[in-house]
Amino acid sequence: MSELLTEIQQLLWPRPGICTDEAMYFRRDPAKTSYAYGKDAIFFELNGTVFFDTYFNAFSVSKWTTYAVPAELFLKVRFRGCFQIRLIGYQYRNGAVIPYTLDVFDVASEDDDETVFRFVQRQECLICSFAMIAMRDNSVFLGGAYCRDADMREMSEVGLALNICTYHRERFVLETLRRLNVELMDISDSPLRNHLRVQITDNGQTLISKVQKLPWVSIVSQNGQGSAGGFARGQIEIARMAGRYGLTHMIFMDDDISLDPRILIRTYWFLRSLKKEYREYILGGELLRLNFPQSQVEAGAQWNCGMVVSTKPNLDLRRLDHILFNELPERVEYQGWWFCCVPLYNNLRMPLPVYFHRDDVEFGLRNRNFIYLNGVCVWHDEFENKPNPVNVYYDTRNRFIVNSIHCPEYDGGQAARDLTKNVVRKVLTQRYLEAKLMLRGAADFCRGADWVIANDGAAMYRELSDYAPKLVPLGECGKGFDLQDYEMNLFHIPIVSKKLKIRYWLLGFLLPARYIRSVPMFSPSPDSFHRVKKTFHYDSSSERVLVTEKKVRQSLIMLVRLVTVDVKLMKKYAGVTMQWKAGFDYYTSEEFWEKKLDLGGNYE
Amino acid sequence: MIKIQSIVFPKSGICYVPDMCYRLVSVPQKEHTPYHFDAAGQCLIVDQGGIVFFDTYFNGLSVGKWKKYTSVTGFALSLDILGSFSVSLLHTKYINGVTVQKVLSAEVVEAHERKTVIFPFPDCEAVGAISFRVDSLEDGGVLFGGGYYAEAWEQVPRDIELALNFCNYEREEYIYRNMDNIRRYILDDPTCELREHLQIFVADNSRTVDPARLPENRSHVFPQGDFGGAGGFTRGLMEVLRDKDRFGLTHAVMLDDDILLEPESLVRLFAFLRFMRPEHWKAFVGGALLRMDHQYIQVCQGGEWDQDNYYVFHKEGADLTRLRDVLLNEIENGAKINGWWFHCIPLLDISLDDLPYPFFFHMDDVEFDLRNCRQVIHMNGICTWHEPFEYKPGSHLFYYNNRNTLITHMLHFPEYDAKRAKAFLTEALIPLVFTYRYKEADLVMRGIEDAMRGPNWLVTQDPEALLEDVLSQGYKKQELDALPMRLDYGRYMEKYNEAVFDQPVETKRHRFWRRLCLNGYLGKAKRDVIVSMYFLKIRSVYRAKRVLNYDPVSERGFVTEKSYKELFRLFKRYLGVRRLLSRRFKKARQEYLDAFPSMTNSTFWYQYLGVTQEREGGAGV
Repeated sequence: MSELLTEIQQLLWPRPGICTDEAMYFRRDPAKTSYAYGKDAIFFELNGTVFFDTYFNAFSVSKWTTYAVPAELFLKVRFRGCFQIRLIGYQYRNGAVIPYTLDVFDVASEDDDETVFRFVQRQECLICSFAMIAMRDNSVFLGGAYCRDADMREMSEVGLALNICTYHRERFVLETLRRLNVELMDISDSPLRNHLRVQITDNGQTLISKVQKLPWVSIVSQNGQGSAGGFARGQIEIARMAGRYGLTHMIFMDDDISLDPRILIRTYWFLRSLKKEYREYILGGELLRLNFPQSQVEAGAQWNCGMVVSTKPNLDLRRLDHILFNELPERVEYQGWWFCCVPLYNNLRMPLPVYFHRDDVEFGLRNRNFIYLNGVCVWHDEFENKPNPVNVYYDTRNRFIVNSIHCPEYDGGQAARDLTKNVVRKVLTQRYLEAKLMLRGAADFCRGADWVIANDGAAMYRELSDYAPKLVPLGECGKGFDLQDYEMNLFHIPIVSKKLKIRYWLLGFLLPARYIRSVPMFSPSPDSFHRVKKTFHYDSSSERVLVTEKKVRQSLIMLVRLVTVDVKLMKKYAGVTMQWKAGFDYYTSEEFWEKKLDLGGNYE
Repeated sequence: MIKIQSIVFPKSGICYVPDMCYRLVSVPQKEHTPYHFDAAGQCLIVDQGGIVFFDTYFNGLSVGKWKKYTSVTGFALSLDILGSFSVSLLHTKYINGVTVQKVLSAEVVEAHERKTVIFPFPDCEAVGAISFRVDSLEDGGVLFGGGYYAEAWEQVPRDIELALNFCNYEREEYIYRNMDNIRRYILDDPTCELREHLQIFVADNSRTVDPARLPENRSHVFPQGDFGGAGGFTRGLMEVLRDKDRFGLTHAVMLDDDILLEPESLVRLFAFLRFMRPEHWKAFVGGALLRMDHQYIQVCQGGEWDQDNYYVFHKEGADLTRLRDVLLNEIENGAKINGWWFHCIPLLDISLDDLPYPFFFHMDDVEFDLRNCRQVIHMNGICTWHEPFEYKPGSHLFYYNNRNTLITHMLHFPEYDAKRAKAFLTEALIPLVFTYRYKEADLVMRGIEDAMRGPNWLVTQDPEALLEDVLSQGYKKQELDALPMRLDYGRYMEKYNEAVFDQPVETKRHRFWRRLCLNGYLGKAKRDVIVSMYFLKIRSVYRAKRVLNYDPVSERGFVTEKSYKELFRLFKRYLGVRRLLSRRFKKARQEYLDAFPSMTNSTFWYQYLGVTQEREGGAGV
């Protein structure tokens, strides 16, 4: 029977270099079981118990039931010794985890053996999994998989293309390619061996010499097109080769992520099993923290006119209740391009040419159907560890652009209010140059779509970078940096109530400054700047510091300029919105991008 | 592959703090502990289920610094083991207030007989530290040791010859102990590459070092009179520079006499210097200062000198058994100076014209670094243990510290003026006057007055006679029996906690009244208090009549008493010193600056030390 089954979800083991948190893979009784990294097996003593109701090894039965063609679910287990195997389903109601024991089997074998069990399906279960209890000493669990007996004729053909846009992140990209090669492409019976291609757009033009030639990897180098240009180039290349290699899906993928290649196999089988009506849905990868592999940043997000709300944030994926909560459906408006699997249907449009940041948001807002699965994820460095002062320009400008296209309820007044809030915050935290960049972003938005399209590029990025504040190594920042003070401000506890906050900030601004503070580079609280003369903004990841000082004159100039830009925004927002809406179809067409990327008529 | 760091186990006689070497994970489900450390055999026995982390102060490898400062591009771990283990290679960093640890790779190894296994480290971020953990998969697994190796490098390792420069004054027993350790762990170890690249120089200010007790064929002893730390270190440095070509010396390591040295620190220093990139060849390498009593507590890892805040210690009080503090140590926050308890000076740019200033005692290292050092690199595992400063209180320090600080400020801070000097004087006097340490207040003022006499006065003094005179002017510690006050240890501890831990916290109202009545000067003194000789807070002496200043190390003390007469006398002298500063400061500064080159060259120093330029001494062994 097992020959007729398709292994749609292999049970995963912790992998050094990717994630080694056992509780993401299985939960075991350490007194009677043992597991060591590097040995894909669990050793049991009598009564030793292991549960597989974990983020990577539970099966999202409700999602599969909803989206995939109907089929029976089975569990395949490889073992040696004597076990009781319990098949368990889990439901989640009002914060409580409700387990159902679906079936219990006893198995025994002196040698390595493989056995298959059928799951009795229960509608109310969100996930199902199993537990193994050893019935004697020296029993060993060697692995397994969830299987289905779906009719292959009902399953669609799928070919995956990874669309990676990179800029000087060789270490990550090379590691991803190495893993793909070792775990997927070099394995003779890997289901993805002939169904995966990698398209890399190298914006830094530094990667190509470092990559060994692999038949399933294509690299193009280009310069000065930003991430939007990079991903767009990748999309064009993939669309061109789709017919030749049978590619049906493209996965937008960041260059600085950590990927477990075995996740792509799950993705592949899930996409193959999709019902016809869901084949144009986007499969989003959940975002986990690189430094805390068990912690989820988000599973999709809501744009909310720029006041982004992450979906399912800060879940601890070692906890069963959080895993179940993660299965609950929630409104998602966009999916970041760390892992965004998009079907290559006929009228798929290209990204909006906004150079950098928010291209993924805009892309998501036009395709609002997303699916998320536990276990389909990537790890990415925390946003707070990548502070780049130039971002504020693009974030401000592109936010207004995205809103003008997709948020009809957003107007000039709202834009002015949001800008004021952000600029004042920057001024209060002594980040005057960033405040200037914000104002410039808003002013540039007011210049209209044609101006942005004509001027956006590497030259502008370079100019902004020259203008942006510079961080210096900690050792060169001069006296006054205090690591203890930094840590106090890092875990900032509000000093005053929300009610008194504005008065407190205002007083801090008006009274003579006298203190020196060390604060985090990423989003410091204005509370920390009360009467502060000099500040060290510390970026812990690069161990660099931005040194700022309170400048009253500069602040006042900034506030005057803010008023001017606010007025401009209120006046021009509606007109610029019209321009973006009118040009949208053209800007997101292949024709536009081919011209912009200078691919020329003889491009093949 | 070249070994750059050995796995360190606790060593009796040097440092027996296991948590500085490894962390044992408790296994509650086991009846007996699965760990046994064999101190004599220097091996760790781990039974099945035992997990040992080596992400510690001595056994992590500072990968961030190795990648930043050296040409090494690949690292490997070598383990000498017996039994079945799962070995995981780790990368650990401290970021945004949290410790982040990642398993880079893992491998199960089975050694049925003792063998050495190599584990190459995958590429990782250039921050924090790399290390490893072992999980024992069967009973009786033994870890004999091992080390980290450089597996790949971009530039050929350069030749390094280290000269250890000890300055001794009646601390020869410490020196012999360190020499025994160096002999045992470096010179007698045929696998240690440093053994052929080490010379030992001892400037013996007390003429008490027996050259026969130092390692043969590489020790050079220079007996001389008591010229203080400055005279001793300078003599050693001069001799090192003179022998630079003869032995091919590249670095001098300044070492205090009363330290306890972990020989592995020297081995690591040697390996680090070998691979250092050329652009960092002029960088100094500082050893962290650890407490001799609580060996896991760091006094400082370098620091910086500030004309307002003086010596600012970096990473002060770190508990080196805690992973967080070990990783915090990896963050470089711009250390500019390092004391001469362990300070490695490259001889590339140092000549016989760049010698220390003749301060006699204290501040010689600070002044030297302010002048010559642009960058100090520190690394976990490069350290030394030293008696805590509070164990060596003495009135004479007030004279030398204040005098030499003022001279250093005049020499190196052009913006330092008479006004700041007056503020410095006031700041130094206030705690002494309000704690009735009138003699020490006198010494502070004498130090300032002497500094104003200019460099000619400084060099014409007989340093030993001056020290005698200063000592005679200060307080003399006496046996407790001879004192008019009885030691009550409970009361002493109350004041100690008040001074060190600020417990109990003084209320604002109390502080206001205390300050209003000049800490009790404007009121009746009615009680006796017992305070620490070193740690003392003004508020501890509030309205006290007599104060017993107790030194718990020597178990002796002295008594001071409230005196209006002394107060007014000191005030009068204080006004005089202020006037002197107003009158003399500018001129004195110019004199110091003018005379400076002639006071830091070898001609001056030979004359000052009373030795001829022909080699004297050094013939020891």
